[in-house]
Amino acid sequence: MSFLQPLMLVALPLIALPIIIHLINQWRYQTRRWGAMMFLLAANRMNRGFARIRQWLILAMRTLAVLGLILAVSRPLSSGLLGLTGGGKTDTTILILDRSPSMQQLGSGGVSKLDTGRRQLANALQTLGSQRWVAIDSSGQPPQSYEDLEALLASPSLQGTSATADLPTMMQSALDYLTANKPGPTEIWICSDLQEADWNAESGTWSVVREGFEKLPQSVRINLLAYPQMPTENMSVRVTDVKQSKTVEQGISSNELLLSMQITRSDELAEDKAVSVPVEITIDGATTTINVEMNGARVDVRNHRIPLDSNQTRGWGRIAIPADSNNADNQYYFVFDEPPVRRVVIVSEDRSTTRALEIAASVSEDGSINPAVEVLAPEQLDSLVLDETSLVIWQTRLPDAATAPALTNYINAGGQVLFFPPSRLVQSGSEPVGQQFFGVAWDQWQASDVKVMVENWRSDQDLLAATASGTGLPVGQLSISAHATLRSTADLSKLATLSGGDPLIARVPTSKGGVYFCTASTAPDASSLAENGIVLYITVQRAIQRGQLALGNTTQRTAEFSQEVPLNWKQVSGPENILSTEYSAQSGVYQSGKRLFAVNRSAAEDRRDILQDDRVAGLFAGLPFARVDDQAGNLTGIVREVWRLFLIGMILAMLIEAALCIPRRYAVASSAA
Amino acid sequence: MSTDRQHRSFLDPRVIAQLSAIPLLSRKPMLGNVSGRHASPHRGASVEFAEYRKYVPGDDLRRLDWRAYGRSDRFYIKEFEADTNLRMVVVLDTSGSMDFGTVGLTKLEYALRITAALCYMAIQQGDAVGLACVAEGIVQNLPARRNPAHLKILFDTLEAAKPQGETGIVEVLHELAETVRQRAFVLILSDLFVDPALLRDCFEHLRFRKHDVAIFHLLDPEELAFSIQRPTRFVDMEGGTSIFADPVEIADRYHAAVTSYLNQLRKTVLETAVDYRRISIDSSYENELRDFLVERAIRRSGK
Repeated sequence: MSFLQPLMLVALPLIALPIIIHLINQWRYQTRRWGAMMFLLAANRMNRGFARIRQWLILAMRTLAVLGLILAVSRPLSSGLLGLTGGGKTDTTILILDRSPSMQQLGSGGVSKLDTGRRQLANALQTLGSQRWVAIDSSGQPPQSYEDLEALLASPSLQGTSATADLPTMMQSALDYLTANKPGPTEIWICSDLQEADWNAESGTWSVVREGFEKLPQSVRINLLAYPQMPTENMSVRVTDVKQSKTVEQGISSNELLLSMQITRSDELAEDKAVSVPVEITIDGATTTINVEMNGARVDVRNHRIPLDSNQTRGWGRIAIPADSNNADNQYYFVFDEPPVRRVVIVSEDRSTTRALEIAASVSEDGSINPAVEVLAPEQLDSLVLDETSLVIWQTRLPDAATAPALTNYINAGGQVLFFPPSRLVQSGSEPVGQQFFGVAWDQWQASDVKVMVENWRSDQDLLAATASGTGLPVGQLSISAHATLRSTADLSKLATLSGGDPLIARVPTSKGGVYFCTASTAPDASSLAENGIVLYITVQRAIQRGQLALGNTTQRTAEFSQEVPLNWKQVSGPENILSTEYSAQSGVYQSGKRLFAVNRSAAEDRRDILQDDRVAGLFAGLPFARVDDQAGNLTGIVREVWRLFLIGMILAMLIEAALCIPRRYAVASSAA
Repeated sequence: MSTDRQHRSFLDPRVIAQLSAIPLLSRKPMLGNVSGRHASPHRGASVEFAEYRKYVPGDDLRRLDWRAYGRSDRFYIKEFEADTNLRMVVVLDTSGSMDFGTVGLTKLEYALRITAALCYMAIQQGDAVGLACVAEGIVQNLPARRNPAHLKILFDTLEAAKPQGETGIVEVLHELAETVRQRAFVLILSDLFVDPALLRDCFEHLRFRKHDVAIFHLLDPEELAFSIQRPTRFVDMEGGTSIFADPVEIADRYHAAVTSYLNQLRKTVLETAVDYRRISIDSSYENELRDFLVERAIRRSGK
């Protein structure tokens, strides 16, 4: 229990006042000679049962009355199932609101978790009071201060989004704010539904945050307002694939959209019999409805054909299912376009060395579209055209002043370049000094009789990431006879490291596009890259895909708060009354120039995994932490003033005390005479 | 009548003058040694006709009823009641508890006034008066005498009575029942702070000895009301252990104990035919005495 006027609690020793008065009264006794001792002795013998405890009850009631009065003037607070400790005047209140789609689950009265939480926080914080109000959102923006609570809660930056919340980062932001501003006693209020995807309990940030909070000099209390109840009747829909198909049969060309979708429903609903789900499909504003039969908890619709105008090459659409307990997952946006040309440019000074690269680039993943591979010799660089190029493989001296600007522009537009060491290093043993590209220069060849193996590599991301099924690439099977070393002023990110510490594949950090350096040649006598084939092929194909994504005019994006707010985005379709700065985190279709973007919630939002209570407690272990579980649509406040109860208790105690004090009447004289 | 000119604090001539018109009568026939105002179990020469009986040789011919002989030709002796004096034995409780009083005088002082007045009246009408002052035992015992000079001794003894010690009235009453000659008037003045069951035995013993027993049960109003408000250490006036108590806390149980005691005592005196009067010492002893005397006179005349 907490108190708004905890200083009044210093008066608590006053509850001993009735006892002290009683003792003083006992101490100030009188001595009296008495004749009728036999009646006193008889009265003492009868002093049993209720008569014996009556005086103690009176004393207890007096004590309770004083206690009730002191507690009432201390303005106690009630907070649902869990008493919030703390009290005292708060200097700063930081609000961390989980605005993920799962927080838009509706409760009783059609009120969402987010709205309920916001209202509960408004009532609670209004009661508790604070000098300063700070809101932290997932957008990576610095924490925003507000002068009053109304302004904070009315802020549009606290509305629901389609992006998964990143609680560890938000806590880190709160810690950074406290470290930088050094406010006084601080309360941090977190409102969340405890979805695992939002909390990312495995993140190493949590331990850093925990240690940071422990070291803070000021008192910081963390209060969690949790809504862990998952919807019992909910369905969600998402598009798993969208392709455009143009066929010509018997001289008639047909243009169709192949739409694959997935519908899931909660376990409680899955136990019911089969249902037919009407799915509303909107293509460029035109709506059709199909019925999808569901027998289990999940159904996949593959390549549902939707006819398009024969001339249409690109567009956007939306699928939607009827409203249920969470409307945030009832729709999904998509965009479609003709796939961009898979064009690969290989600049090679020795085609025999890059032969394996040519083969790896010329065969597409599914074999349907064979990329156009153009091989240029260094002498032909004047005719280098990088328009509509997915990947550039550069196996010659690093670009000089003449070619570097074109290549840099290509990279800044999202292009991918894969550098291989030139053969001349083997012959001359040195690269001309100062020949750098993005701060990296080839140094010299390192050859040894013993083949060098790959010691470690990044299997979690980038070109050497494991496959979707979780199978890792056989990078460890590669053996390198000779590799070139790099001289870098930039902070290279090593994707694969040879034994000895030299990188095999390194990436130069760029704001856009990809610049990769592979230090081994694909020549059969230099490495087993060509012989192994798998690593080389997948690396090249992934680089081509990345380049295609950059080239394509349509992009499916997962909603997230992006540091680079796309200022030139225009909303084509989606929810109204949202901040343009949050377009990247709000589901919808957006247009930037010729490009279309479909922004949707992440797949993790459709999973209903809730963080276990002990894990939540573990995240805040060692910190002053309190948790209140609430329900969406709950009308009862989490923090209420309950001084009236104590006042009523005090009055009751006084009434009982008065009743106990009423002397009993004995008509001695009249009855016995 | 009295030759005692000394001032006695417990003797009020005005009260005695007012009560002198009312005789002190016994409820039972008394055995006196001279003629008096009380009924005797024997036949005598009073004017009160008793009965006729047949003449037997040797009877006094002066008591032969000649008119009855003339009517019936038989000899009848006409008998009359005998009037005698009585022996009044006053049992005065002088235990420590009799020193208690909250109305300006103690229970013992109140008892002395009643005793003195009744002694005076008894001596005046020719009755013999004895006195037994009782504490743990008989502290002072004066045998019954009827001469007026005895009155001075009585008053001196009363004046010298000091309240102290425990109450041994039960043993004393049993002793007096045996030692006093039969058919005496036993007057008890006490607060009777003893078990009523023990008193019952005493009263039955006295009754068996054909004594006429009258009791003045003296109580202070504070002992009945028990209206003390502050925690108090009660010191036993008869030398017992002290008790510390909050009167407010135990008042209800005290009253219950008093009520129970008084009910038992009332039942005892009714069953043993004792002339019992409970007196709160804040009342006028003159009125109490008048009521006492009048009530006994009425009973006697209605007999």
